[in-house]
Amino acid sequence: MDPTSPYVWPGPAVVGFPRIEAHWSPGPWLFTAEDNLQLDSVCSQSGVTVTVNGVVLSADFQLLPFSWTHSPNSNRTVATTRVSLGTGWLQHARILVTGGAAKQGECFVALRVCRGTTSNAIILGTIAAGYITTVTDLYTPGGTILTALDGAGTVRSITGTTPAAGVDILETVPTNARWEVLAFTAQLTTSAAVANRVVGLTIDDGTNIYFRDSPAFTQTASLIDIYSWAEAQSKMAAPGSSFVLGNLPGGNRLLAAHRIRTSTIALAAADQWTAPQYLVREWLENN
Amino acid sequence: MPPAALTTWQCPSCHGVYSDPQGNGQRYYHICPPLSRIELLALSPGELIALYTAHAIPPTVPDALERLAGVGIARVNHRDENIDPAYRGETLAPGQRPDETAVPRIAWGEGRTSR
Repeated sequence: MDPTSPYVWPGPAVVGFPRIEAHWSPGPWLFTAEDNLQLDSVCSQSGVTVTVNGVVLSADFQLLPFSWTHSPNSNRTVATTRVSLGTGWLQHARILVTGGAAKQGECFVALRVCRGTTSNAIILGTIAAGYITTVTDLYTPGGTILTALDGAGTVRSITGTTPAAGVDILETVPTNARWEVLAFTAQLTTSAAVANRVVGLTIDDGTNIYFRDSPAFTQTASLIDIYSWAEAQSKMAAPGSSFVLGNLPGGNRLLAAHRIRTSTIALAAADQWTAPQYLVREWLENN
Repeated sequence: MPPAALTTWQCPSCHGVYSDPQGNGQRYYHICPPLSRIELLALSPGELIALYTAHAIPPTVPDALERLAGVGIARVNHRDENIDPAYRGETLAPGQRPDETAVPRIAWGEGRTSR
């Protein structure tokens, strides 16, 4: 359209723009004085800083680069930064971890356009979304918009709580996480109290048990045995000197607040579970 | 990045011992395990009978106590360090001004690259 055309465009003016330029739209993301850029993040790693770089084509046709940083939370809750871009068309943007050491699957970000600058802002669209690291960026245009449950996730080795004597182990899936439990191991030291301890592992939804496994092995008094559960593992009692193997359901998915716990029949007061260690594949739930 | 220093904590409710943050720097959220068989035995007979009744476990069956332990009875002062799932970040009261520092104005780059 010829910008010198005497044609008078109908409709109200766009805030911050000559009406005719707003209709040209040299880019899909037009920011008026009322629109802002919003970055949402969900992160499980501490000390992470995210930097957003980009370029806006202003109403007077100047390319204006911008750069700002955002600090995600480390507890998987959503952190949000809203920034005014002034008026113009977002031409391209790149989002990258520039501080800390988030691995793939530990920091999910979504770049959005919103109206308003407070928590009451209305989100109008999503420009880009995906996991980022210090070398894997998220970019627009051309990037694929992903959800936090897409991709390979991240693998975490977690040291659990060593319970008091006579108490079974309990571990829980944190808020805003989804786990695939790949392996779980712990050691049981039995006291001199005479009893036949039979160890089981249960997984529940926070209340109701939906998986149980027991290696069908009896541990008597004054012994130290290491129990190990894993996906797709053949179950075998004591194949080595003190190892007892059990199964986990293949391709399991545990939502937040689901629990993994040992369930030991005839556990005596001085019996001690120690060294709970487990391996999970984790995705962030961007609720 | 060097491993984070391990800080070991003991839960005052269940006396479990755990590390937060973990060696890889990630947070760990402790939750107390349910009452064990031994802890259930330490309850008063009245409390125990009430639990059997509440969970429809006949007290006379041989494995009644194991069944009750398997149900997962929460202990007094049970702790769960997980984040409240209902948390949705900052909520402004009517008339409350937002924290302006959380909404930085953009610092435009120096030099305009083209026209």
